[in-house]
Amino acid sequence: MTTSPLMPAWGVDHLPTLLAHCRRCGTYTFPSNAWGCRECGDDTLDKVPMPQTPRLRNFITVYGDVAPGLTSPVVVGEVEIAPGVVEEALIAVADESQLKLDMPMEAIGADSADTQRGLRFRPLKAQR
Amino acid sequence: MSRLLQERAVHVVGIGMHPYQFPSETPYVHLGLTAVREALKDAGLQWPQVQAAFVGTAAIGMAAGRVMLRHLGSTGLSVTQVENASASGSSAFRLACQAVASGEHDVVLAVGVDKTGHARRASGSDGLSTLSPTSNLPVAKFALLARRYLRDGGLNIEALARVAVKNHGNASLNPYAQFRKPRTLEQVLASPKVAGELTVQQCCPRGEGAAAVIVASAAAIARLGLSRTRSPRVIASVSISEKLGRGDVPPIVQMVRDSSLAALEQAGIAASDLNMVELHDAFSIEEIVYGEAIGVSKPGEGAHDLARGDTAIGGRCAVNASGGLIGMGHPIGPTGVGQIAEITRQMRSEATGRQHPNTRLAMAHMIGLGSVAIAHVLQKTD
Repeated sequence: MTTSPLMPAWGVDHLPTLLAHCRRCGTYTFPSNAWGCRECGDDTLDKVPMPQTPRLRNFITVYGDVAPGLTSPVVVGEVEIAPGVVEEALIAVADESQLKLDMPMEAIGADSADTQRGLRFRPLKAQR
Repeated sequence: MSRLLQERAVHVVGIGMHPYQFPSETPYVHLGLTAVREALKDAGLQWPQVQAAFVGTAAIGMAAGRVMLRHLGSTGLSVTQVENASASGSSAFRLACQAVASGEHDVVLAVGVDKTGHARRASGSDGLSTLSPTSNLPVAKFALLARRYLRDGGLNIEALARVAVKNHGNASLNPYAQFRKPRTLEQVLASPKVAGELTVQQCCPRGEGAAAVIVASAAAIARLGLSRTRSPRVIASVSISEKLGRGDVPPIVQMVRDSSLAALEQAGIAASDLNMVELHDAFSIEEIVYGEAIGVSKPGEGAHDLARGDTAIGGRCAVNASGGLIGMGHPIGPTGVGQIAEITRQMRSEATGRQHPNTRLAMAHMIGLGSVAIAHVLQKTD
């Protein structure tokens, strides 16, 4: 995985510090190296892990080659990783048939056989 | 701005276009000058009578305005370049209106011009990473929005595809449109899938082109002997950006709702008074959800209104009579200015072949990456 101080490619090693938590208003912001709280703009932010089991709020399949480095078809979901923080993320499933709305997810990293890099999500083992 | 537009009337006195087209070797200067010269001729103005110019462009580069406009003569007018993503042209038009409404100038040009392929997005340079390479891609965002809308409304994919059928049909009647072929429901659905339920023919094309409008004060119309009845009045101009989401309404939809409501309040009218809307349908789902957010349709009724023909030319409120971004094209800089040109043409009853009857009150609504929203309301002048 390629990383740099300013542009980390999120991986499992980043999970303990994935989000920023605002000391002033308590809002969670993604990513943890954001330049300020997305709600109040304060810059006193603590790096924290996901405070809840991530949930899948929506998903689609992307068919076209719409982004560099993206191998299609690929399933993309909206995953709620903290209260009010819903991020687009790659979903590590073969197709949409394995997914249900609001199902709990877990974050996984890429292995050497994967063509996609960085952090992805898949259904929690108990849901599979 | 609302007080300014009430105190000092701003009218659209001239419109001009270079047809939107697929990427070519044509220099942007030719595209832009074609539109500006057509607008000058349409208004009956000479270039030295234009006191300021706002140039909406996202992909050409620095200082495009003077490089282009000097070929009309070096009059020393004020030239300002405006970049606001898809809303660049709308923002240029808003600044032109402000320049007249404030009393600084009497006759001002707003021109949008762009070539495809050179724009860089700042979202890739903020020093932050996303979880997905699709995170800053509109097509994925709107495919997700489409999936949610269809699911919540119990609708099938035809509901989305009808937007493209209508807008390709409208564009086929528009000599300035990039696509000039009507499409059937079967053709739209059979075109290659891009993301979710969105097929290629439900997505706007990449392209280039230009659009120009000239705005003037009522005093200038009288002094210069321009046609008042061919010059719709701008009665509202609003610009906002996105807030954090609250509840189940996606932030971008809430932004459209807030901006259009503010524009309607500024104009002193209700959404039901609008009989024409030009809006940002880069993807089919946008027309339906933005139509509901603006108030053209009741919540959850957008797809049904479309199927009934309420938003077709000749319907209750024509949406994207130009063909919209899907059919007319979306060259970025020109798009918002082109919306104003279309509404003006319709209010003059000069939209041959695609004339919507009795266009009296119309909204031009654009969004831009980021996200920002610009809304204008125009009123026919009797």
